[in-house]
Amino acid sequence: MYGLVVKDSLEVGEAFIKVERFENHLKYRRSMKGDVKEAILDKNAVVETRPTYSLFYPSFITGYILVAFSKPVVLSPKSSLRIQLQLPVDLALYAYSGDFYQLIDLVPLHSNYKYALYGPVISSVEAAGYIARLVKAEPVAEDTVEPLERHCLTRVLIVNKTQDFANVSKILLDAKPLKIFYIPGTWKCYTQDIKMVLNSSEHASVLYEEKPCKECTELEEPEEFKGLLRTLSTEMLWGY
Amino acid sequence: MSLLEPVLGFLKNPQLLSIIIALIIFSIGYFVALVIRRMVFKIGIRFYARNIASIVSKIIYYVVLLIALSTALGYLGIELTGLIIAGGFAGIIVGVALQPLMASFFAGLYVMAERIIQQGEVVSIGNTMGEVVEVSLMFTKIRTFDGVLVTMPNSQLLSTVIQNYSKAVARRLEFTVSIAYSEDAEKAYSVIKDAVDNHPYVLADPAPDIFVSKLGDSGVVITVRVWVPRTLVYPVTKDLLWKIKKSLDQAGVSIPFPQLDVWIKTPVTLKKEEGSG
Repeated sequence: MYGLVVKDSLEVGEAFIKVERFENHLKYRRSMKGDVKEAILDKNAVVETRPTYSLFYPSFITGYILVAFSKPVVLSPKSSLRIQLQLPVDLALYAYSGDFYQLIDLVPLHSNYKYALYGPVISSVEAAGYIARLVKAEPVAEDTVEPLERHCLTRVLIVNKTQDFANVSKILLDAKPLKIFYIPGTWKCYTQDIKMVLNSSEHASVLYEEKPCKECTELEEPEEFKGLLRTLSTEMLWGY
Repeated sequence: MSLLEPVLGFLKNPQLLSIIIALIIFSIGYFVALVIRRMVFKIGIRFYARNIASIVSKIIYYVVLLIALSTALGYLGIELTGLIIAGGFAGIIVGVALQPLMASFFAGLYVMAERIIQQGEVVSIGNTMGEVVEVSLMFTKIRTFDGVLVTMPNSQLLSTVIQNYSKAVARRLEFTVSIAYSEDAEKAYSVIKDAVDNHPYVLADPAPDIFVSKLGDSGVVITVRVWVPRTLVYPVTKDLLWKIKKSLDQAGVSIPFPQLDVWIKTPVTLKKEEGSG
């Protein structure tokens, strides 16, 4: 569960987390597939769980997420459709003390972490564009969908401004402006709403919009995103 | 009235008045030079690198300052023609003497303006490969991967081939793996593909390319081409071939060593020596 204070132990998938409290310190230990991570914290610290962008395991190399749809979304000219996607997230363990926080561990919740190039391959040895974390998601048009465990629900309004049918098979998200929200004490996680405007057959703009629910708590900004200039939209220049 | 008298008397002195006016001219020139310098820097930084905008703004600043100084001195009646002519000759002599330095200076300007290489990029210049530490007007400093700091004059940059590995978003790596003729090539292909697909840093798109590239003397040569993020070329180069080798070993696919079959046309009689094993 997200927003959970780990007081004793916690089992998430193949990860076993244990927090031992001693007289003047805490001992954090996480084991997973033979990999062990340990930390010693002072007695004032509290260990809490959070959802986090699936961008930091095995290491942080990009802030972009390329969501490849399992089936295309087809829109007629000048039309719009709202779809929902389940984006994979990982589990972050933060040490808290008052308003201060520090990431102490990251538990990968998925099995296959891959990256892809969003952009053109200019020649057999030259490529341009962005490196993005590749995730596969099934677009669902029903509004009643709930977020799956280990996933964040993303609502995307696709607006086709072109005079032709549009076939949408992917969306590029920038994690820096994209906020994550969660409901403490549950596995429910959401991203802010997204609007994808199809401007031409090759170009789309992705805009980051509303908070998804009133009772949601916003995820603290990861260290990697702090101090970076962020845009309010992401331009998809090489097709969608 | 009695207080103003010395001031007015002071101003009636034409020499002192000229000095004051000359100082005012120089002060105005200094102020204008400062403003122009800031404006040029602010505009230049939008189009060029920070260091080149800074250099151009400084040059303009000193030129305006020089004009203000010569105007102020001219007002005082100091003749600058001789000084300018002497300066011109001195400039020619110094220019000839410092030709290599000037070549580096202008090469530095060109490299900065064109952003051929920038700080933090991984480059190969001539026989030197490493990370660019600094590009200044005269020299470029490169830290090689074994920690040696190489300083080269910028003029050298324009007369040699520069390979910049940091300009690409992703780079293609190529490996070759040889398997014995007796092995199942389909199985080997599948094992290699799994190893490549399971590596997180091998890009899923553009898709890896695995194919038989040669029927070699000792085995079937399989070429593996993968794309990886630019910053991860070294770790993937280290890791992937090792993982492929381990996967082939685990699957029981043998990698052949070079071997040569010798066919002898005429019959050969081999005699076994007494006492030999």
